[in-house]
Amino acid sequence: MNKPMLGLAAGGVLGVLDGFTALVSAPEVAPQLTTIVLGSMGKGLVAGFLIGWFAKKVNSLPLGIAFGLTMGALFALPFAMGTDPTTGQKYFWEILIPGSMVGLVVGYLTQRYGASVAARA
Amino acid sequence: MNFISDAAVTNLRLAIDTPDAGSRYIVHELLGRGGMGAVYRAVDSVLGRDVALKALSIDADSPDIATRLTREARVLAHLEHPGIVAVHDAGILDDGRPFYVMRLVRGKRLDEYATSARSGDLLRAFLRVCEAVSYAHARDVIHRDLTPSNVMMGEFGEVLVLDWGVAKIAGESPLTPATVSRANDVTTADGTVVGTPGFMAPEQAMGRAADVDARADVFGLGAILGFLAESSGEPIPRPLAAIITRATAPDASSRYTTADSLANDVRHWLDGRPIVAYRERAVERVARLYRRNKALVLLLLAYAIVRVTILLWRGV
Amino acid sequence: MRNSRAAIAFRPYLGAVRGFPDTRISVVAALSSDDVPERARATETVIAAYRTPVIAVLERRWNMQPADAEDMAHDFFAHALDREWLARYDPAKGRFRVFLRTCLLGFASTAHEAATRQKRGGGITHVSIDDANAVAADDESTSIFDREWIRSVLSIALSALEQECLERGRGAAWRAFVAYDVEGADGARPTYEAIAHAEEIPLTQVTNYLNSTRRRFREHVLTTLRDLTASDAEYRDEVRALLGPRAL
Repeated sequence: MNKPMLGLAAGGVLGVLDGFTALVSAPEVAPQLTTIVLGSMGKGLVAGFLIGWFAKKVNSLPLGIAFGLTMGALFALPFAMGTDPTTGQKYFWEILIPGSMVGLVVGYLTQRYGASVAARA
Repeated sequence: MNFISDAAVTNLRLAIDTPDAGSRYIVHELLGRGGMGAVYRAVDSVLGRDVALKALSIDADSPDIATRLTREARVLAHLEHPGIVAVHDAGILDDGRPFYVMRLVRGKRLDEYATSARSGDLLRAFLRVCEAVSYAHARDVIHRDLTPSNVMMGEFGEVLVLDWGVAKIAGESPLTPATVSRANDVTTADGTVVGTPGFMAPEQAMGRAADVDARADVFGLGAILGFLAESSGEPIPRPLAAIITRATAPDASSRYTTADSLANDVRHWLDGRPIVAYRERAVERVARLYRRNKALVLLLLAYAIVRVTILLWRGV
Repeated sequence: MRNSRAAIAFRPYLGAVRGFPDTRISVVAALSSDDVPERARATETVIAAYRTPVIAVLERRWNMQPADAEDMAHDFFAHALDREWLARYDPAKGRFRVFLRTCLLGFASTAHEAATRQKRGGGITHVSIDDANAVAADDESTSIFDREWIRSVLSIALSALEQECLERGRGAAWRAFVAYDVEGADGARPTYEAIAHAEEIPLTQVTNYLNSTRRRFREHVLTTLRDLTASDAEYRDEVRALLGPRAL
């Protein structure tokens, strides 16, 4: 599997998991779980693909992790800055930190695994 | 002639032993002796480079040994691989002894190198030995004397398999000259088996030349692997021990069939992947997967900890 | 006919081996020949080859003065001939060099004891070959004997080479070889240019002379060793002993 596709898959899976684990840190959001999971999955798919594309271009574990962390944070930020319409609460750090960490993990995965163009050649 | 001094005696002994290879190769110093010949450092005056010159020992006037030396040169000349020393020239000295000239390799023999190297480096060097032997097998040449002392670790990381003097050319036609066919025997003219005890496959040790094939070299490689594994002084991991056991199985049909398959198992073990020679238990499998993906596991664990920490923090 | 003590002459070895027919029976093997002149020639050759090592052991191991050591060496060989030790040498039991060394040590030990006893008023004791062989070799004696044996073999070969070069008009080659490989080993080795200048020959000729003379020297050494050994196996062992310890 090439790196962009690996990023897409890992980002989507981890995004879904990240969405479900929102229940761990904020159990009161359970009624909006479907929305949260779908949103998280969407973020994960897009960010994951971009991180995988970066890994294809740049072969550097530290840079890959840093890029993943940044992408995760950037995609999580709009959601983190918002307010939950049902509870009226802000979940800034509860969204930003795990979202950034998912980006970090995808960054690591795409650097460490996945076939590069050179390897396939 | 008057009394000759000790220094003159030393010098004259050297002069007797030093081969005269004509005007092209100027022999400088003895590098070492083996059962078949002596190896000297020489200078190729035409190309202006250092070379190694191997000549029949002055005391080895057996025709069989001379044939082996010449044959070794021919075998080496047909094996062009980074792991096999290249032959540049061959000929007959003015005193009738055969010689050949090869690349001069500076470094340590594997048995010497193993005393100070890390186990990972030793196993990677072992894989390079397997590559060279596998190449030779593809050219129908079987080494028959693979030992740690017949592997040289060059000073720039090269790994070279040496001493092809008792190599067998598999499937050689029965129409070849008697001397060449006799050189394919595992015994010398006086009935001594060629090879090194402990590294020699049982079928070779018992003098069954017809049964000696690539798996005899697999045995030698397995014995080398065992030597390297023991040199660290630490307990040998079960999977690695299983690889060694399989490679050195007394029955050739129980061994790896090729040097490549042996190398693949070693490579897989180094990469933390399952190997053919060992069926791991569930716990061992989990441990292996963890070792192979330690960073990922730790990252996911860190993510879980962050989630729980946030929960606790919000709870406060 | 036995050689008497008076008949033993310490003549330098000068190509005596060329007195044998081309079938080249080893000198050592000829010691037990029925042909008296052949046996005599072989005996002379062996004595000439081993005289120096025998004297060296007597001087250093038993602290003898050079003149006394020479006398004792003379007595040793005379005794060995008288008792037919050399003729009774059996190659199957070991190398001739080791055999002779062992005989010497036995003889010298017994003679030394006898001399000591005589000073105190005792009688003369004869030494049998069994008694001689019964004395164990010590490291020092072995080392001295073997080292001087090597020197003796090389000297014999040098003498033969010198004679050959002079006979064949290769005096310049001989002098170049001596200057570079023999005398030059002791310190200030002359350069090829210096040798070329001294012999009034081209520089390239120096290399040719040295190579060819070394080759001939090697052949003389090997011929000498063949003469002093009784079998191919012993010959190869003695070549290895002459060349020194193996590097690997």
